Amino acid sequence: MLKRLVNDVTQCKLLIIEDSIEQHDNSLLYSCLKARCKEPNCQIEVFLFEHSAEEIEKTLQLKQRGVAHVNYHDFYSNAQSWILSQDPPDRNTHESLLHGIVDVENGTNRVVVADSLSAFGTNLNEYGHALFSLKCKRNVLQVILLIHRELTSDESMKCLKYLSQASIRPLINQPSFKPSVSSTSIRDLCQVEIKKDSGKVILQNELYTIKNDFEVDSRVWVPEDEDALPQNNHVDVNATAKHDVTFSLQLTEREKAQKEKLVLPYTKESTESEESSKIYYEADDGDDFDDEDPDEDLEI
Amino acid sequence: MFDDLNRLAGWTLQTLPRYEPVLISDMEGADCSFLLHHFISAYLKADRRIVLVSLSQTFPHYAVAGSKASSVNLNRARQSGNLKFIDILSKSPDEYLFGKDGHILAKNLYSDVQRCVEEQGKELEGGVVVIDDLTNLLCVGCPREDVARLIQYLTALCKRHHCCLVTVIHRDIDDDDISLFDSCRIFFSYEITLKGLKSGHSKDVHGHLDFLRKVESPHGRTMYEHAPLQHYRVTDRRLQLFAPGTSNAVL
Repeated sequence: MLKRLVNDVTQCKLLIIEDSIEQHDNSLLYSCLKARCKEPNCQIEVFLFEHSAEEIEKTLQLKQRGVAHVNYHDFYSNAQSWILSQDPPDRNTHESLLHGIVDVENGTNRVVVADSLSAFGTNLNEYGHALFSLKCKRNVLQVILLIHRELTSDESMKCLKYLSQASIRPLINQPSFKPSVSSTSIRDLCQVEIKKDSGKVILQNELYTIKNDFEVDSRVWVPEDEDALPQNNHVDVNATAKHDVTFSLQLTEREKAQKEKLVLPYTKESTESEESSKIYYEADDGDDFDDEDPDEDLEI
Repeated sequence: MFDDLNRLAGWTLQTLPRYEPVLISDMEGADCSFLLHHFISAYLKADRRIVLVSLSQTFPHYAVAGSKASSVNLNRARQSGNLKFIDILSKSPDEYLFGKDGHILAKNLYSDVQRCVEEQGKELEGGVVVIDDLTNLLCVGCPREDVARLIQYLTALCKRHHCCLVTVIHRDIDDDDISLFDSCRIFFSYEITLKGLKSGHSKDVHGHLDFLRKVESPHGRTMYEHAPLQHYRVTDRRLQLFAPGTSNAVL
């Protein structure tokens, strides 16, 4: 379901991608943006409040690859509209700019991508109105919005959930799953919610991977049964809580090799002799050494 | 300059942050303001330019603290042009503190910093803009959203001019549902957090220090690298960092 959401612009009109300031993640937004660039006859309007256009271009290399139908609107670096706006409360010129860009009735289909809710206003009324009007426009194929859960009030979240047809939120702190992030891929869990036109709502946990050129693959994820017995009781003794100790409990490869090479003295002595071990006793002067068997009367 | 902090962060005079912004914060009774002097003296010793914006202290305060902590002469640095001081406190109270619409405060402050940074041009590359401190803007009525916007544009300005931004937020003062710290931290690459001891004041251990570095993966996900949690003790001249439970008072 996630893979379809990322790759297919017709799945929903308003897609909300949620992340956390404790785990900031632009990967799904970038994947959606990359996928939208493949749409024919479609203008992509990217409103940026947390990244500069150069940073996005460095990561995605859209212009370099000849994607001409992407327009960056950099509100991260350009403070002019903020400085010049003197009306209290600060009237958000992005909203008028947004409508000015998107409201052009020349038949061009557009996809609007924003990395912050600020693209649509500074309060609930403003962005609720902006998002609703965008949804109603025929030439707007899709709006994709990244929001940070902790920076969005509960009221705003309710409004966004009501307006959106699909949302993706991270699934964190799952005891049976550990996300992995490397220079070539990301593997993590998310929860996907889709509202169908029929009124049906599908909520699904999915395991997704992002590889190579921001290609997303996903499948349904079911947590392991917590009541089931563990398959093995192996405890990773090398696991180190990095945050709690100031010394390393892990062995490097070199240290492991040296440990394997080490021959303990008693081990060496025992391998030299092929006979079973014997005990040699030499009695002292004070010992009363008796050759008789002390258990003779037990009749064993 | 605090060598223990540099060791923890992996910084040297040659590898100080160039355009990765640093956010210093404190909570639960700790006070992180002394860490600003570390950055001021480190960048001066590395022969880099500094823009110091003060909303809380006068220049003599920084000069005295700098000479005690690291034997750097801020007066000489200011005269030679290596240090630019934007003194908000000495401006007319009407201009910044009273009678002004809160929305104008942050914008005027940005304009002042932008003008100072752009005047220096390439000479500021590798230098630092230090702002002491953001919480005072909240205290004089500037809305949280405007302070967050100010930080957003300042980080962009500093990245454009290849200089670092260092600022302070006192988390205990902010009691909004959405805190200023949460609003601003997404723009910073380093976070240094000082936290007081839950057991109360101690003359041998002043609190916890948490150092966090953020790196973005090629696919756009932020990876968080925490340094091991440290206890700290600060004197006029030195910041001592040690593993929890290894204070001299305990051993």
